[in-house]
Amino acid sequence: MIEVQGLVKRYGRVTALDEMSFTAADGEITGLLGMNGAGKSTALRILSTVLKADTGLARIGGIDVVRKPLQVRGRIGALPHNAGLYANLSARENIAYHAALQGLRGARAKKRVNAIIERLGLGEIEARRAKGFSQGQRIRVALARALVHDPPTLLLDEPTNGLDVLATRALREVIRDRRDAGCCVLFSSHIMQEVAALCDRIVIVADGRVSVSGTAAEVRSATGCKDLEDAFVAAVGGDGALR
Amino acid sequence: MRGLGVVYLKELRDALRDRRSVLTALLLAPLGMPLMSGGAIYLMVQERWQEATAPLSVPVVGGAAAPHLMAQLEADGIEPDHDAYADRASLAAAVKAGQADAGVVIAEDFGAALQSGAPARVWVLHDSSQMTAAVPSMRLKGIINEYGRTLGGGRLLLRGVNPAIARPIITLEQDLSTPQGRSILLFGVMTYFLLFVTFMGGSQVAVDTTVGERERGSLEPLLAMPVSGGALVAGKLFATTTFMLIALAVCIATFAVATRWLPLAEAGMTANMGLANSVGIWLVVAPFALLAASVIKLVASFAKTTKEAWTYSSLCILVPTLPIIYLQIKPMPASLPAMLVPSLSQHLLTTALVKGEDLVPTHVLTSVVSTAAIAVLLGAVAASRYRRGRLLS
Repeated sequence: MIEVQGLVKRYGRVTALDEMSFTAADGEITGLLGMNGAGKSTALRILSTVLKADTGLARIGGIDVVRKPLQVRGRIGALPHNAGLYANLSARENIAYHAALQGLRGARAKKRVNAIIERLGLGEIEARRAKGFSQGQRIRVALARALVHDPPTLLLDEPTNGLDVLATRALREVIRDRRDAGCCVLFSSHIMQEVAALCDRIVIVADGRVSVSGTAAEVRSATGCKDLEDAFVAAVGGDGALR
Repeated sequence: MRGLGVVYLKELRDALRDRRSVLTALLLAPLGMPLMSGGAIYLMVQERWQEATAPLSVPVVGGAAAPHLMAQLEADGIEPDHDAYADRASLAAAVKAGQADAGVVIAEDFGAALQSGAPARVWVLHDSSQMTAAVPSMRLKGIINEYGRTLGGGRLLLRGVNPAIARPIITLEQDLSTPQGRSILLFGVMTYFLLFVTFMGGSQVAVDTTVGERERGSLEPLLAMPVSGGALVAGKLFATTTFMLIALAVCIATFAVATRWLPLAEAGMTANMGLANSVGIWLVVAPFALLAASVIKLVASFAKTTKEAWTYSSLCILVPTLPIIYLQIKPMPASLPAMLVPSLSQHLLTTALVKGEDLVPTHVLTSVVSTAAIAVLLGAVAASRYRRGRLLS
């Protein structure tokens, strides 16, 4: 369960988040949909405790991200915008490093790493150094890293960026799998179809605020548009916002 | 500090796979520096030693007027060259132009002056701004003065006077330095290299694990791990320190081995660079590695890019050399307050070891504690930079 209430974050004069509020439930995939610069990444960074909001409240599983960051970090699996792998380490070593930092040790760690490598089909590249990985391989290893400690909450920042169709489908499958296991999945994207295909609930963000949220049907009725794409355009402020 | 060990081992492995880190830490600086300075020392000693005894040819003008003096020069290993220059002016011009290191001009009335008992004039021409002229001109003056004294003594004897009466005072010199002590003239600069190499040895790792990590985007997921900023910084700091300590060890070993080939005995020196002393030097300089690692770490945490971090840290490398340069200008003995100053204390302790002196335990303790305390303080500031947001935005 993710609860966000009135988050404000400014970078100098730029307001990235302007009183953003939404919730994401367990056992659901919630899509954070918005155009580039709408504040999606900032919100996810605050939730993953690497950035501090100016004001407002954010809780994951009922735990405040500001007051108890270490506890929150143990309960989340975060996939940042950039996969951020260590080029000199192999896929397995990259995953094992995060497993160890999450407190997994010895045989238990090895078992978890093996399981996630198999689940994400990384067997072929597990011993290779990350230096030469394709974008798809990088994302899969980063996802494995985020999942290795079996976190109840997943924060995925545009995970399908740069992936081909097959890789995207495989990724969706893994995400649905986590949802079915009862995870709370928060997923950001600027691609409407992506969100429509995967998410149970949609939170449309524009200019640092939530403009519409709900299921796809609720979003359509709230905006008075039959087509979800039209609904998205209406929610972010019409065609004018795109020019 | 949970996670410190995990971070440490990962950074070590990562850095060991980075060719640039390994090259700077283990090869370029630690091997190159002592070999370069060792080579310079070798040439210097060789030159000095040879110059002081080697046969030397010196241009002489008017030497025919002083055949005995010429014979004396030859007896002392200086070959007078009578044909090189015709007159004093051309010899002076040649010395000034650096074509000759030194020259001798015998006054035309040399013979007449000697006979009449008036002071006979001999000029030694040299250019004191030329380093190479120092030894030849000194040798010439020494031989000519001694010759003069002998002549004077002979004159007094002829008149039935004890020549000693004309020398009421005689200056005797007693050099109390030991061969090890004299070696400090050459090895005084060694600490400078040791500190420099220590700094260089870990700088690549320090920058890589800080700004480099941010530039490559792996810092964000790392900061989302349930590990405190203190543990992250400490792990990275210790990895950097490990590289520095290895670089330092390689450097000391190279110095120790290089000294075996230096012609130190000819210069009346012995290098005190045996195994025990080498280990001792490594131990007294070791705390400096932790400090150097904290300094670069802190500086790098303020830099926005790797390039910026390099600029800052190359400025930082100069700081620890300042006390050593100051000490070259204004030498001071080892004292307790001096042990509070990092780099100065390591220099003084290393110097004492090379000279073969016993270390004062309180001095060593003060140096270690003070340097480590400053390192921990700077490390703590660096760790505070790892709290959320500061490093990412």
